[in-house]
This record gives sequence, C-alpha cells and structure tokens, in this order.
Amino acid sequence: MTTPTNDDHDIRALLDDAVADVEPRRGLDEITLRTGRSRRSWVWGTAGAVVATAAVIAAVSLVGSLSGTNSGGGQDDAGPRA
Amino acid sequence: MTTGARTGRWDADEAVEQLYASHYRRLVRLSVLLVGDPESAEEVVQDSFVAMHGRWRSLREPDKGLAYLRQTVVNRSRSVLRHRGVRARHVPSPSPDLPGADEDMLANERRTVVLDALRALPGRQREVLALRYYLDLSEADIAETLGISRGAVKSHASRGVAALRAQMEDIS
Repeated sequence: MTTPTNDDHDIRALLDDAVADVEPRRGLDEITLRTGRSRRSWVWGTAGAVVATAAVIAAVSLVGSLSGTNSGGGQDDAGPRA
Repeated sequence: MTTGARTGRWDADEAVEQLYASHYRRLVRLSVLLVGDPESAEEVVQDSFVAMHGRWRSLREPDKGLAYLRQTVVNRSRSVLRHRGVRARHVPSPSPDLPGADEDMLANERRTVVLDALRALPGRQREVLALRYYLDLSEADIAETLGISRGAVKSHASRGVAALRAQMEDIS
C-alpha cells in the first residue's frame, strides 16, 4: 500500500480512492418523498383558501341579493313595530 | 431544464433536483470519509437535502444552497459520531459496504485502512482534511463551513496530514 507523503496530491488520491466505490443506493426518490409532504400541504392550503374565499363571496352575494329583494319593503321594516 | 433554472432562480424542489444531480454522490462520499460507513452517510446527506428544502426561502441561490448542504453534512456527520460515542472512536467498525468479491479484497483493505486512519484523527482534523483534500475547498470556504478561523484551518490541516501519515504507518 502507498504510504502517504506530505504531497497534497497523494492525500487527495488516498481520500478519493478510499470512497471511489461508494455508490449511493437510494436518493432523490427518498428525498422528494420527504419534501413532497410540504408541497402537498402547500397545495391543500392554497386549495382550502380558494374554497373559503369562494364561499365568502357566495355568501356575500346571497346576502346582497336577499337584501336587494327585500329593499322594496320600504323603511317600515327597519325597526320593530310599535 | 425548467424556467426557474434558466433564470437562475429555483424553487425549493428545483434546488433539490439540481443540487442532487450535481453534488449528491460527492456529498455522500464526503460523509463516508467522516462517519466511515455508506449507510449512515447517505442518511446524513438525505437529511441535509430535506433540511435545505425547508430553508430554501432564506437561501434562494445555488451557491448558498451548496454551502448550506456542505455545512449541514459536516454537522450531521459529527452528530452521528457523537451518538456512536466512545465506541466509534476506539473500536474498529466493520468496513464500509463495499463489494466483497475476492479480487476486490486488496483494494477494500486499502480503503478500510484509510477510513480507519481517518477515524482515529480528532474530529476537526478529519473534517478539514476531507473538505480540503476531497472537496478541494479553499481555506476560506473550509473556515466558513466549520465556523473557525483560516489560521485554525491551516493548523488543523498540517496536524491532520502528519497524524494521518502516522496513523497509516501504524496500521499498515
């Protein structure tokens, strides 16, 4: 076996050689599986916000249209009857 | 290539994919030099990628992402060794998960000797040697990665080389 010297080149070769046959087995799939959770939650969060916004708009429209329908009743409806 | 990569601005998922493609294997091998076995090394690097994904909003640039990965790999490798405790320092662990065929035995033995010699070094020396001689980082980059001064990097490097040489002579 080669005895290391002070030479930087020898140390580099030694370390390179020590791990040259190391080939990762798992990898990107494993990482995306773990990071995908945050992406999915972001998607669901956005979808939830869109649905909530649509529901609020629908509710406001409904209330608006109902009050518009009732507006023909005049100001008599504004307060309790005596 | 994606639009984000063309413009130099990646989202977190693109950052993981791009940095994985160009640096994953090298980072796993770096971690093997630090922790001694490929299984732990791969876990360390995967954890580091997941952590980088979570921090991408504050990193945003590929260079910063890579620097973060290097730093996280070194820190997490250190944690692995800490969890192994004293046993990891003084009892030779099994050789890394390398091919065991007869024709590879000699090469495997040589690699094991190098990894054993590295493992016998003080942690900082091992880290500096791996970053300098395996990743070819500058003293400034090593100093930033490890959070130490450039003078300390020089000192650890020269002591590390001498200690590694002595270890190799003892082992062989």
